[in-house]
Amino acid sequence: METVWPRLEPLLPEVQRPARYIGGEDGSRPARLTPEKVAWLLCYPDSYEIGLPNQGLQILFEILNERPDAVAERAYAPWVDLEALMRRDGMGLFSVDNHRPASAFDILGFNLASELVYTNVLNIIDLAGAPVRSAQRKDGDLFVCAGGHCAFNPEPLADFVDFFALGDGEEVVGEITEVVAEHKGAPRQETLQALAGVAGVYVPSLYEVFYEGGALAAVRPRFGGLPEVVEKRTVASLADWPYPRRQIVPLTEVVHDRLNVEVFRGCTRGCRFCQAGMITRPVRERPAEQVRTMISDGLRQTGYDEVALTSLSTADYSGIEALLADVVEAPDNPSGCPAVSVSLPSLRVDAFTVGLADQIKQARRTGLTFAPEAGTWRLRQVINKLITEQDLYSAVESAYSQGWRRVKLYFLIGLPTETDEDVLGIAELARNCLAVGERHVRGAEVTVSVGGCVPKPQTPFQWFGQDTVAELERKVGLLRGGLRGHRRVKLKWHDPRASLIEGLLSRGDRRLSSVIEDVWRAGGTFQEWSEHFDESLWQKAMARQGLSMDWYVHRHRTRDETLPWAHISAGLHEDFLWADWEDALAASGLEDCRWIPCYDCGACTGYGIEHIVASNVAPAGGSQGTGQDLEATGRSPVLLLPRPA
Amino acid sequence: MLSLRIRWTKQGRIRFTSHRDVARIWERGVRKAGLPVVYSQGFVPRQRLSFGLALAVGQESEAEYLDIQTNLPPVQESAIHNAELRHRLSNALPEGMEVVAAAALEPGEPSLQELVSSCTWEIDLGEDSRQAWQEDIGRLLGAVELPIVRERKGKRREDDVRPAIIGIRMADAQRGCQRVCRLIVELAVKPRALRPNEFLALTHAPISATRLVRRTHQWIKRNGKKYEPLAMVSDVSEGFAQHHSAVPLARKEVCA
Ligand code: SF4
Repeated sequence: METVWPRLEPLLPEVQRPARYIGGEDGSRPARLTPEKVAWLLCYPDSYEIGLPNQGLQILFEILNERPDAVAERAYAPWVDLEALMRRDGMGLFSVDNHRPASAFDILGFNLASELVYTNVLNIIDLAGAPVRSAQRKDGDLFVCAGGHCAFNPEPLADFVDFFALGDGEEVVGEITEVVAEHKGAPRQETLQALAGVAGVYVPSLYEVFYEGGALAAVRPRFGGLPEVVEKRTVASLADWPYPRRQIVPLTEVVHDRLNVEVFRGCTRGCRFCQAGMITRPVRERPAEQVRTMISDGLRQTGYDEVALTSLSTADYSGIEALLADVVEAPDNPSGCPAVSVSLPSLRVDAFTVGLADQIKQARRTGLTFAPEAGTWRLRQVINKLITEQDLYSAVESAYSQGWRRVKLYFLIGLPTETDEDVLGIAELARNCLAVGERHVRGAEVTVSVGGCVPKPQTPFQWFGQDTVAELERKVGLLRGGLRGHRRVKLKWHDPRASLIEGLLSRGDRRLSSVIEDVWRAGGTFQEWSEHFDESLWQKAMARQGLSMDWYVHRHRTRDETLPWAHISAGLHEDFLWADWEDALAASGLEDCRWIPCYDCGACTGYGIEHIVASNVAPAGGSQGTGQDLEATGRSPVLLLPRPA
Repeated sequence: MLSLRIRWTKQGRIRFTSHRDVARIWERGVRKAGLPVVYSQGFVPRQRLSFGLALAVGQESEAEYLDIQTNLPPVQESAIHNAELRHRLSNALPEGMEVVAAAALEPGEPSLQELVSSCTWEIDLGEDSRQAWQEDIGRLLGAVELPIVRERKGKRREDDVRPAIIGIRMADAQRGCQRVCRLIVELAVKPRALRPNEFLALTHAPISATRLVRRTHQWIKRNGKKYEPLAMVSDVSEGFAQHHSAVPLARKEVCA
């Protein structure tokens, strides 16, 4: 077996945290590569610590390795210190599983979870020994493929990636494998043409871009037989895909270092800024029995004592309280430790009850984060985050009354129609939450974390002009003023310059390929790390390419203009998105279609699938997205228990 | 309640994990093996594991120790066989970490940190400078004083480390299929541990990050005699081997 280990090993004593390159994790696979098999190198284009826990890649890793015609290994971006040594020694990208060189693989597949990793993608293709531009790749070079949320606007990476896979990957990876296996030895073009015939696969080199006076006019297939619009893939039921069956357990510290079990996919709460929610519709709950099995098997196999129930909004899972009770209280819990910690990474304010607080407080006291997103009820109607002030206070009261001392609140600034009053509303909410906390615990604290709104493709905000850096900075200043003198409210904010570049890449078109390449050539990798982020590299590259930041980022788009991702579909009808955008401007909310009749956004109706939810009413208390007091209708509101002694 | 002392190895790729990483690996391993370990009380219950001297990232070891407090019944009644326990724990650990001995501790046995007074290290050298190393050995062993400057809590101070060098010798050895020249040194850990890298800094060819350093023994001194904290139990004994630190140990060669 070809391995770079003998060359890598002597470099490791010279780099930081060498354990991230050694492989050997529980769940990693022994080598079994034969020439007929299609070999995938699955890559998360960021450091091992960030990339290893990625569930999407772990799921595909297992599904591919279970196939008789495929083999998959994993790679991550080598940190800058190791990269320098690798380049000095002429050593290329390798898999961590068996330290095989990238050249031993057929497909280099990226998961794109954030736009700021795009320069890392180029760097990794280069380290893998392939030309960074797909047009220059020859027969026998790797195929570069990408999926994940950012693939819903593939255009900025269109010149570097041979093909994109849109939506859920469970089924499509198998179909791609079959096409590549059939075409082994065939000319590259033929393989790409065949891949373009797989539903959910977009081959950008087969689509031509037309411009009109500096604006995008159209993106059209070059040949007949190609879809005008490439539609995403959706797995109809998670019950068919109980993955990962064997979660990979790292030997060194990573983020989210715990068992992760996905309890549902999709979200129809309809927050208008949230790309993840829009593109993953409809809601597909995993059957509770399967969740229980995955938790108990997972804990036994991995030895973890902590499990996270993941989804976009876990408190919305039908029967969440019963599930939590089972996990936390199971007397013969398989890990053999006194209590399994449960974390719910995304908590909706209006679904967080004392019951939930009580269940997860037995867990490790990691901070509780709530995301009211906006400071006033009016603005929350604009973004369709339909939670009332009372919902928020009930939730923080549940938390503080159950012994939490610190609560973190997440907000966006730079939202459509936002006024200074809305921004100052954030400070007011934070102060009121602190007052609630002080009634229950000594030294209560509130952390307010604000980020600039980055309008995303395939959302109702895709037409909205993003706030400038100066405007975001001014709003942060307002907020600091509003919190002056409140020592127990801590304010943190995301760098507005990073939001600017994220915005540029989110809604960019194919011309940005040259900008990304320029920044990469100038050494701009790891841009999502504040110590490496360099706005000036991007500004210089934009100037060199004669492109305007203002045109791409800050301008409001009109309905008649062609959006760069118009030929890519997440199932959502364009007129649904536009109507939702108009509702947003009118501060009019839209309820969750999980529990009320469908309004035909297209995500189910277009694909002949539907929601899979075990309960036809929302599971927990609060206003449940209605913004109304549900007590009047007989549904029980949050009950507050006395503070534990 | 039964406390166990475990001797384990750390060899190959896994040597690049840190002391902290290893602690997490052990916590998960103990749970995977289903060993009924005692947990601390409090908000964040933690397993009662106590590790001995930390090993630096990149160093191998044939002699790491760990004390585990378990809820197992006392030795006489314990149904677990020593070999089975070693097997179960080794299976729950990643490649390169292996449990080579285990024994029950007498109640009141001092902690590893209190007990261990010195360690033996093997340092693999290149073939080239045998002569220079011989001179180093002579010079270091013959020195009356070996002052080095160390920093502690931001303060620099001079320590004489000559007393910490208990012995040095050179040997021929085999590493994989390569013949190597090996330095075998015994360094004290009290009052303050002399680290292999600090020792190498005193020689003609100081620190080379790629040099393989391996801990082979940890030593306890009792009544003027040297013992290892735990016998290597290589036979399959019925029930638990009671820990007798009064038995001097023969070294078992572990092949790389
Ligand atoms: S198609 Fe209907 S039910 Fe499905 S997500 Fe859209 S609005 Fe909801």
